[in-house]
Amino acid sequence: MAQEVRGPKTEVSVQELSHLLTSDRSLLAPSLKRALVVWLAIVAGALGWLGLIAGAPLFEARGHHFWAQAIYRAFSPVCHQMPERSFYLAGHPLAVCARCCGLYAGFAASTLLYPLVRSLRRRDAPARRWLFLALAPTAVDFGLNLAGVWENTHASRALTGALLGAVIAFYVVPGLIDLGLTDWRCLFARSAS
Amino acid sequence: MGSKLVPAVVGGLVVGFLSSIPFINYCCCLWAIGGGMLAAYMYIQKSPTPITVGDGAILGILAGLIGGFIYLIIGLPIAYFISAAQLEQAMEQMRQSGIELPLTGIALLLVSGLIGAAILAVLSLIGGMIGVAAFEKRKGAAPPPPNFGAQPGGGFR
Repeated sequence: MAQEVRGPKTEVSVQELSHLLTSDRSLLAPSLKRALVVWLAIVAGALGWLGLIAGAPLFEARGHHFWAQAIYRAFSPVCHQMPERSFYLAGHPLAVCARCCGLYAGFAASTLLYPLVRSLRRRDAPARRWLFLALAPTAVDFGLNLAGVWENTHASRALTGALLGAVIAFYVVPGLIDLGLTDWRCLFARSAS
Repeated sequence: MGSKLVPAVVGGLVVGFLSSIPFINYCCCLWAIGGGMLAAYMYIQKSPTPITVGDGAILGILAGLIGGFIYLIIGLPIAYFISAAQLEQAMEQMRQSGIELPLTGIALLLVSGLIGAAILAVLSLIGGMIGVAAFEKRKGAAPPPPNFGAQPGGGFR
């Protein structure tokens, strides 16, 4: 075994190691500071997103109809916004339904607590079975309601959505950290090939 | 970038069209996330090497930007015609509260359209990352290039 690393083969082994260090980004020592900045940006984005959702009814209640309508309309392509399926704030429905609200709130909470559960250095996503497991309660809640087996509630929609949102954060945060630590020149060179 | 473009365009079409059509867009964020996931799936099928979650993020954001643009072109006019009465009511409320902007209706549509397009892009970005987690089954780093380990100038030894 020791002979294999001598002579010309040694040169190749060094090159192999060098290639591994430059190609497999998980082997590089990640910049924790940069990962922290990315995480903070995600937290700010998630909280800002919740702020927009809560902002629409608050703007409406305070007479800022333009901004209230702008937010309600902005969320209309991604939510049905049925008032009977939405939480209310200041006498007006939130910008998204209870399920979406739970989804985004769960995502924001999970993102906030992420470093306590998983290292910011990690750039790999968890196994996909967790994603499907987290999706199951939402699917059951939606499916049983659709089939008329039972009438779901604000709480069931929001809680199942929150679980899904919380788990999704564990796929999104490492992905964005990976993106934040990416050497863009390498990335575009790789994409072009 | 070229190899990512086709999956991103297909994903973007899903995001843009399905989020623009009334009643079909009642499926919450499904189409925006689904478009990003579709882009990631198509790229995984074509890619000879495993792709990272970061690659999925790029595919998702590209699909989302294309979808957001399509939404601005198609979704806004549809929204205008579908909810013209509701828009008129909102403008009346604004006039009553003292907001007298020139072209208020168009300004409202534009502002909401731009925020909506950004929302679609963010959700599609998330979809791209979820797509990689869901569909990329291969593990490990990319293989070395074909001429890896060769001596400069080549030749036999």
